[in-house]
Amino acid sequence: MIGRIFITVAFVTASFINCSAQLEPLQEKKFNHYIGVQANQLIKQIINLNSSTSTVDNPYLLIYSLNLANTGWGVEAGAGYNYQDIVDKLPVSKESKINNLFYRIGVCRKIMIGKRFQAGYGLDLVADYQLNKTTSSSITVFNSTTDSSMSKASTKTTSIGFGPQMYLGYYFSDKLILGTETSYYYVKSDQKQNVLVTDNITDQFSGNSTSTANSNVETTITKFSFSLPVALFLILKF
Amino acid sequence: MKLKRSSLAVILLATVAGFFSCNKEDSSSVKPVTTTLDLPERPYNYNTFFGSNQLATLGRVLFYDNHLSVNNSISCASCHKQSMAFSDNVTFSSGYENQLTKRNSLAIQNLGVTNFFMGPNANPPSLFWDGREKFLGSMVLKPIMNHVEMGMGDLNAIVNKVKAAPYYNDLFMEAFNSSDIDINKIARALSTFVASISSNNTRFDKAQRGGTALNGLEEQGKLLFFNKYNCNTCHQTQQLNGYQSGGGNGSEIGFVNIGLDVNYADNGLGALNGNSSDNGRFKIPNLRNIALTGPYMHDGRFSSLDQVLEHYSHNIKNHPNLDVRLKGTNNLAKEMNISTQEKTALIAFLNTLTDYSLITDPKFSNPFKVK
Repeated sequence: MIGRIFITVAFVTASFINCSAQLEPLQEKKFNHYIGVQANQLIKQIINLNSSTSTVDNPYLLIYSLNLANTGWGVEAGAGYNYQDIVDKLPVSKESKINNLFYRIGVCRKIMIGKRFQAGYGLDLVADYQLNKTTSSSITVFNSTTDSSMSKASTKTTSIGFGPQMYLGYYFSDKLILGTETSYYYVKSDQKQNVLVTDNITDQFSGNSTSTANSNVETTITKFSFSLPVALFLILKF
Repeated sequence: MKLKRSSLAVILLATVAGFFSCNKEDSSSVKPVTTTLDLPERPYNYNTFFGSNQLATLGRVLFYDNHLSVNNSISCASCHKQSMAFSDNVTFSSGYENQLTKRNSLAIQNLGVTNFFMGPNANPPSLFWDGREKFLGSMVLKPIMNHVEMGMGDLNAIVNKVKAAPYYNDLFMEAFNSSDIDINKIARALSTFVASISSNNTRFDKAQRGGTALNGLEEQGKLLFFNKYNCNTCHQTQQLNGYQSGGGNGSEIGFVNIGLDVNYADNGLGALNGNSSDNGRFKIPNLRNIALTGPYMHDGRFSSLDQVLEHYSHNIKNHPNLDVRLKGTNNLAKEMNISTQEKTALIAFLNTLTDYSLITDPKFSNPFKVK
């Protein structure tokens, strides 16, 4: 689903930029715009990369940067979104809905290395937000006793961080670039979790009893996050 | 041009907003599954040296009980499936909230051989991919406490959940002659069951004992494994624990760097102890039931044995900590150049390490039967 959407976004983006470029008056450019879409899934569909073993750990679906044409310095931004609805039937009926939003802003510099290659470096501020809602339900029977259990877990994780990022791009043409990047971010995450479990125990001899356990846990985690240069971006320059 | 760019921004924002609006609804289609705890009248014989059959039975129920996770949704068995020699068939397993674990689930088999026999003052080979635990009694509680796996986070909470389940009073009484429940008893029961999971009835074992003979292809694979490619120097399949002590110049026995990457995203033992000379070192896995325990490696990067052999054949990377047994005379990574026919023979031999009695034995099976 997400793959189709980003292909659509890439197509629409490319069409707009193509139209815009035709209207561009002939004058010296002050700025270069770069807009990129993470294209690993697309490339995988075109080229069968079975031997690829590294997990893509770059969460940004779209990246954008605005750079001065003469010095290469500029600003950049990135955004990514991931949604999963995971349903298990056995041995416990369980459903998780996981929303994850990632974004970053930063300063960067892009410089040409020869005619085809472009390198870049920068410093980013990163943030992400994750909401995970999991519901599960089960009934366990033992002799004369039936234990019915229903649970709802909700976990919100908010993370912020910063760190350096490096970029390498290859120009297929004046406007189309295939790029990749690596980053090393310090990230601090605050997690708030609420778990509500309701157990109803029915015994043929001693009757019913219901217990509810509600736990709230808040944790803070800090980590250094290294992202390998395995995410590929199709980038349009205009 | 300005108009076009603003239109572009609107489209992008609309796309993101569309994602959110699609997911706003919090409907759930969860309908409960009914299971019945089905135990034999007389406990199975677990052949345990350090606990009774009743204790192992209690451990079996705990191992399969979803109540041991914070939201009653997964058990130890969710990531350690009997049909896969108590490993998982996915790269990374899903925890109680369907978050993925960071490493591939290791098979559980013959752990009692290395732990229980060595006594409390011994220095047994470490457990987990990075060796962060040495004793089964403490190891069995770690996944239950882990915030991604079973999420309990508090030992007292585990005890309270076990006390609340209606079937444990009788089981603890039978195992300990007392229905008092505490965390040490839970750990002892779980570790007794885990230690009882043993694999010693493979075709390879039978051939070693002079029973069934291996066929020609399997014999060729065995020779390649034991002689030409010396796989046995790390993976000692003739031993039940499946690996030998030693790992080049490593500080931990049984941990090696096999040149999977030049830069490891996960440094394994090195990440645990902060020692850069241990970066990229991971536990040597037991190859028993290897045909059932894929995907392979700590990060599940290889989905087939063919890919694993291809790694050793041509893809070992030069890493400062690369195990000496994987280096050539020039001190660089070996290229073993395993031919296609040899790979077929090696895989045929590795398939003889499958213990079908382990994966079908009812004493290790899920006692919570789905109605």
